[in-house]
Amino acid sequence: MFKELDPLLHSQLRLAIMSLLISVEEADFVFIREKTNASAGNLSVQIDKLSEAGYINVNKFIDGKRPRTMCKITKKGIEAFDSYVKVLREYIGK
Amino acid sequence: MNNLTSEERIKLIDEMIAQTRNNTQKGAGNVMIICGYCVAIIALLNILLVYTLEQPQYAAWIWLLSIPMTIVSLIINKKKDRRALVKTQVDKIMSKTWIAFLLSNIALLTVIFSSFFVFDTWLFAVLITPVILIMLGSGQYITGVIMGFRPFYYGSGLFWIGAILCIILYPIIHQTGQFVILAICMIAGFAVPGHALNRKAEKDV
Repeated sequence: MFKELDPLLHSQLRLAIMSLLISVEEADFVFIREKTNASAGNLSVQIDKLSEAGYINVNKFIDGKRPRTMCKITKKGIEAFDSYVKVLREYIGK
Repeated sequence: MNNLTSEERIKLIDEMIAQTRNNTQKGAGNVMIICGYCVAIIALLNILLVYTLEQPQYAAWIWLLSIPMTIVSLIINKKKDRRALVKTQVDKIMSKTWIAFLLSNIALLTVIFSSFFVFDTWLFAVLITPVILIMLGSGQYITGVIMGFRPFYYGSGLFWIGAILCIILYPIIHQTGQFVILAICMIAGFAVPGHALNRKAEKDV
């Protein structure tokens, strides 16, 4: 019997965001947008969803005159990502 | 958009993780360039002062200039970190490696100066330059491994050779000769790889 995939990570963009954040300490909104090729609006919505689920921490601040948004994966996010990849591998393996 | 197969999802994860590699920040080598040239200039000024001062033992005070150099380097690094679009574990390890070098330097100088009071001799002072070169070599080697950047390996080799030369050539070159070796190593093993890193960062952008 297959385990169910986490619906929050099933969205392609949210999975891409989590995959980027899993391998860095923290990343700026601009960096994530460049790497995922997503629109700012869509990315903002998906980041909010991940943040609400407690998968990532979002830190908004002003750097000089520039607003910055830094995202960092949480422990809960790492665990969710790990189990998502594990289930995916089970799907491929069987 | 969400109709990806399991294989495509794994591929997407791999691609995203790969995107976080080779993100050398613009100006990543600036601190190395500043430290490389500054230490070389201080070392050469020390030699100049040894030959021009009436009391050459005061020439060593010129090394106090390395304190503002360190402060400036730390400020530049902090600014660079704040502006960085992404901070990786690699950046963190590298930063900690050079902080460890800085603390090791302080410990080394404390050990050498303490030895004067314990053994009543300045003999151990001849070890300052070679030990610093050995530690610089280790720092450059670790940086090279983390970044996978060849000029750092060459730099580390140069520092280790320089350390050996400092001791085996000491009867001929004395303390001033050690400073010449230090200056050469700092430019060739620190500033030059710093320039190479900046060029790589320009290409990566």
